[in-house]
Amino acid sequence: MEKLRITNLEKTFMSEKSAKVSAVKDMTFDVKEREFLCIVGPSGCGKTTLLRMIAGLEEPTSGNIDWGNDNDIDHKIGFVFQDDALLPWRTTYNNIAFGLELLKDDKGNINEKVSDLIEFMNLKGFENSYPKELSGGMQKRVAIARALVVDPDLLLMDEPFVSLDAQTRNTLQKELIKVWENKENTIIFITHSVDEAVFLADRVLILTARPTKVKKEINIGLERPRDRTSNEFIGIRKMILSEID
Amino acid sequence: MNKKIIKLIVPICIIIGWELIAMAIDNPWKLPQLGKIVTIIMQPNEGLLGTGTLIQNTYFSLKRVILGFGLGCLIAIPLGIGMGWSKKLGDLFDYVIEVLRPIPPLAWIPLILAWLGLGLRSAVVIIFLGAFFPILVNTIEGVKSINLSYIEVAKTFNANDFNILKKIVIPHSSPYIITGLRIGMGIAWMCLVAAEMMPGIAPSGLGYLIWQANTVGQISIIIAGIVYIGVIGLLIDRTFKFIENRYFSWREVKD
Repeated sequence: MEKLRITNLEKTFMSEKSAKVSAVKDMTFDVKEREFLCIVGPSGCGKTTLLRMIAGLEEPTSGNIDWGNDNDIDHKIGFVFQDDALLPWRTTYNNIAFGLELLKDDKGNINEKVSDLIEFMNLKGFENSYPKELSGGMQKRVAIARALVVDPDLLLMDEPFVSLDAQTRNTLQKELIKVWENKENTIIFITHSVDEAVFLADRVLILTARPTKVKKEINIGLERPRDRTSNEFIGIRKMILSEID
Repeated sequence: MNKKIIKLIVPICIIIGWELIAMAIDNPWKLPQLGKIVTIIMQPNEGLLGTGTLIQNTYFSLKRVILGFGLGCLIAIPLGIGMGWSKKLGDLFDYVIEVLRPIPPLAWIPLILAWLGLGLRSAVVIIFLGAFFPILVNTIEGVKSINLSYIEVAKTFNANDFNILKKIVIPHSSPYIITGLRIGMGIAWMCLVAAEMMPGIAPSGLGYLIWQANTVGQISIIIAGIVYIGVIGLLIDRTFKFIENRYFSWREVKD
């Protein structure tokens, strides 16, 4: 079943010299229920713009974003920003609780959900720490927990691990798979690391340079947990890399 | 050597030097001995020159400052949030504020006296002018410096404008506002003393006391008044500093 259907999506910006710049053009693809979809493409292509349109942070110039069967219901979105965007005046606990506060959930409910996530994301002991007191990896966990707390219909992640060192990055990739298997989310994950995409995704969309559209889609079909050093893994990586260049 | 001891060396030298020079000059109309000044400072309930006691004058001064400063907060904080938030509102007031801001508040005294006459109102307005601009400018700066992605986080959770104001804009700007309040209070306090020295503006307050002491050449009362002004100013500043450290420790430390 489809979770999301993107049809003929287009986004043009006005540049400073009032010239039209086309960021996304003729973009069409589906996202399946509970799918882990990774999107890769050359840097500067409209990956982030695409994600922001799905999140409702930007209006498409034309085209449609349709939600599966229940198009009318207000959809809950979890968005993990590239720079985390943790609120520096809020502790770990209060950052995670933020979305529920805005949805006017009651205190007991908030406490239960936030405490569960703190446990689940290995954040125990850091409930009362401010973002500046946390390491990059911990900040990322808080950002993911904050997005998860509302039980989002769709989890959107914009190159979330790009600023982390390789080791933390690998750890968080494994944790993210655990989250996804546990919470049964649908995830759209943007990255410019092909390795990351092949490790995480059910399916990878390769985008073209601007104006961006889908160049190719590849089903990964490897068993999880995946072995980065296996021949199949390396083969798929090579194939995707050749498509990008 | 201990840091505290090092910090005390210069003040102690000044005190000793003062006392030695005062003894050498032996003229209380120029440089009174410290004992005389301390006596006045330690007797705050003693009437001075028919202007009331040190405590009474402090009370009048504080009252004016609180009124003027409070009025400044009431107008500058909401206006600052509005101007920082809405480009249009910011542009609307921009020229007026840029032109008025650098004018020393004391330059307004003749105009204020002409429009409002002598009395509490005039003193309050002068203090208001001193406090207003630092609070306004810092509030605008606080709102403008919000990381756009903080607001987008709220938007992904379907926050409305009121919630964005309450949960993002105000918490993010509050440390900036507190800094504005601290600076505004410092300037308000300076304006007050100067305003009270103007002939006829308000026959009470620490500034007035100093001015009266001047006309009769009572140096030790002048110095006692200055010490009161200095200590109260310091205490107010420290209170704001304390609030900044206590409630805004989450701020990133900038080098």
